Amino acid sequence: MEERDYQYWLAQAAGVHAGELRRLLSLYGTAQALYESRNWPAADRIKESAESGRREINALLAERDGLEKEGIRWCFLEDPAYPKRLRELPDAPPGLYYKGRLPPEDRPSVGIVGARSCSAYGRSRAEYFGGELAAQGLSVISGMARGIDGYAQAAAVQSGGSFAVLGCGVDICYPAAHQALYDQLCESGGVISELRPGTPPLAYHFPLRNRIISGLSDILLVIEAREKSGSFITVDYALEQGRDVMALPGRVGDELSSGCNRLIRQGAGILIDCADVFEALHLEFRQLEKAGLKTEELTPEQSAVWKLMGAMPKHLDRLLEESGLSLGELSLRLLELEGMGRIRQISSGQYARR
Amino acid sequence: MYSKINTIALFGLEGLLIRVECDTSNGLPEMSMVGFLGSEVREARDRVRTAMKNTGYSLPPKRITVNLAPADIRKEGTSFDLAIAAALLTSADLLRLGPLQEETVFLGELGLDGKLIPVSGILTMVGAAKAAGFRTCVLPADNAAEGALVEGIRVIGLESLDQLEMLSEGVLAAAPCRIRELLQEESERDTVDFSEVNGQRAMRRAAEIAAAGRHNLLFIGSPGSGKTMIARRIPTILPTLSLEEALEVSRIYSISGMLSRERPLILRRPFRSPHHTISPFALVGGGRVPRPGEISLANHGVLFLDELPEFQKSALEALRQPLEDRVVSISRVQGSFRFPADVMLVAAMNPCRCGYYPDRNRCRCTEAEVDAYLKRISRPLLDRMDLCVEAPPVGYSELTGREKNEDSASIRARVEAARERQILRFAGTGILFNARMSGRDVKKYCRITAEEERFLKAVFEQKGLSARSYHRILKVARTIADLKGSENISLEDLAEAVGYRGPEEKFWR
Repeated sequence: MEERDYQYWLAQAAGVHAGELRRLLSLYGTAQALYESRNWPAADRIKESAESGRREINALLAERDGLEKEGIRWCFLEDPAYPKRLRELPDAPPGLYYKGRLPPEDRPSVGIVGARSCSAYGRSRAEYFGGELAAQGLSVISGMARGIDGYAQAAAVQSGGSFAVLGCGVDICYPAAHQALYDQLCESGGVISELRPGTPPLAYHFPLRNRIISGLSDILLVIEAREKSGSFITVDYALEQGRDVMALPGRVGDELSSGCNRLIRQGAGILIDCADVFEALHLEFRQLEKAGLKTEELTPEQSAVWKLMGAMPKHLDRLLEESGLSLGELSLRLLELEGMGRIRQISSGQYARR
Repeated sequence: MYSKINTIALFGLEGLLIRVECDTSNGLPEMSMVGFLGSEVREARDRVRTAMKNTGYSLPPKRITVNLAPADIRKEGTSFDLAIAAALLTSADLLRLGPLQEETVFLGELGLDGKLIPVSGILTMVGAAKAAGFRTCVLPADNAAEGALVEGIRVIGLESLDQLEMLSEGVLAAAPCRIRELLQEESERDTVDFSEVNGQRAMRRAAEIAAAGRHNLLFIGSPGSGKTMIARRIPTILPTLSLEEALEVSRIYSISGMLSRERPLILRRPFRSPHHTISPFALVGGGRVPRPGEISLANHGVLFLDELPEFQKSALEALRQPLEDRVVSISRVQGSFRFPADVMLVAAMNPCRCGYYPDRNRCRCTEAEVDAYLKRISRPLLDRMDLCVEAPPVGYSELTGREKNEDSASIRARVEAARERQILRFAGTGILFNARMSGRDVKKYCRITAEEERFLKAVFEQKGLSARSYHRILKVARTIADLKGSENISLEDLAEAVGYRGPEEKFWR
């Protein structure tokens, strides 16, 4: 057995009590020394699980090797593979399981969080920042939740720089509706969790998971958040960990933006476009050549309809009235614009700019 | 003495000739009734006897046997009373009908005082009597107007049992056939009109298209956006009922006992809006003795299902077959019953549980909840909804609306013109409306140019549509072109039709 194996035993015993583990390691130097010591000095908190783990160490290691065969890897705090950004943190997870890869150390990383039931505006912005920042070579870190998280990650995964931190084991796809995204992330990004594979998604896992999201990020973007939002847990961690926080402004009175607007009032960075993120990271921003569709010229007829649209969903009736077109003609223009990727049909009668 | 009287029994929408036989013979005084009788028919014994006593007839103290033939069919209902009384009286030689006896059908229920009580299903029963070759039909006076709608048979209404004697004297006048008069009077106005609907252009337009091609229609919208208001007005823009259709509708209402005594002909297209707690049987018809359900009561009209996801799953699934076949078949031991169910289905639902999606300031439903709400309606049922349109919330200016809105009559004129085109196009094929085209017919009647084909292909790839929606889009586009009076489907027509796809096409992603 080598140090890595003893570390696995120790991490399992420590669970989420990273402080305990660090204290023990500072006393004993290595996990092996701790394992071999019969004189157990630790607080009662992890002593019992450590003892039982000691008895079952072979089963424990066999299980880990089995996971590795399934493509689930594990790294411990002192491991060279362990993310540097996390290692500095006082409450860093003792070990990380991951499928795919971990965020590269040499690239800046951006956390994107927000409401689960987001608006069309939030969705379009999440997709914009996720897609654009990943295309610029940044890592996008999020929680693969419904709403903002999922949209940002789905947009980013195409460039490969998308990493999800889960509140359950990495072998479980939660929410189940994100199966396709999960598969893509395992393929070309990464799925990360400190929880042992097989751990179900329980409510109390998620606030703790958020510290890893902010910890892995150099900067945290809040896209849409209500006054009382789970995103603020991530924001609090980010501030504690010394990360910058930026918030996307919304309209005053819009419930879904009230949390973001308050963050701005409290001094968060104002997030308008990708250049803002680069500036906050002290990086040079270079406008990417926009590929394909978006640069396509609009015909005067299309442009007339395009001008009527906004980020907020607009109903067909309103568009009919404002454009003065017949329903057939308007439908045709809308379909063309949708085909060009300019607009999106939010529900059967509502359209918004993408 | 043996005597025989004819009557008609109601079986669903058909009348069956029943002979009431009566024999009076020596023996212990007793009256027995046989012939596979339901309990209400068996009770007729006491009703008839008492009614006769109170009319002044005294039955001879003899052994009386009454048989309702054919004896292998179960008889239900109260319409046999008058025939039984007539059979008893003629058998006891208290009444002589002469040649009338053979050529007359007797229908009606008796009260204990000898008064005749109206029964339901008269239209069907008199129709069956005429078809069986009878020349006269005697029935309760209150049913006379309804019975007289059947042409070619003399209908005589009686107030009470004592008038039976006057039959052979020929002093009772036949009820006049008022069918032409009622048709003339048709100007009986609808109480609602499309001019009362402000704004809601997309919904109005969808209603017009649906009415023109007889497409089923689904409204999605937040509470109070006018879904019900528009649905209620759809019958007013459908073409007026033809005489044949009016009679068919009236027959169904007649057997359900829902026909008015004074105006027994239904001339307005039915609009049925059952509450969402309705059982599957009440919706499609059923019961031990099958009765028409709401879908048959809405025959040739509109069946409106408000709050569609709240309906019992079993009730909605029961609709599928009748919507396809346009007829409800119910099988019972006595035989199989068929009720017409040629309806235009209009349904309304909220976009999510709270009703305000995608307005995120009011709707807190998660996307999973929105999906779950939509999923309450099965795919096969959604597949039968050709048009789906979303209602925007109504603003103040639209509520007060100073603009003049188009009224039902002018919309109906366009709908009728579009129907004309369809009748011409489908002449001899048995298809009546665009919505009824099969896949093969679509290929034949909905020709599109290469450019339109390309456009449709692009839309399909972009939206991931199914083969079924391909046909649906073409059918709706056909109707849109018909409304314009154009033989060719244009790009605009197609684009508009694409906009009416249902929520199952994943465009809420």
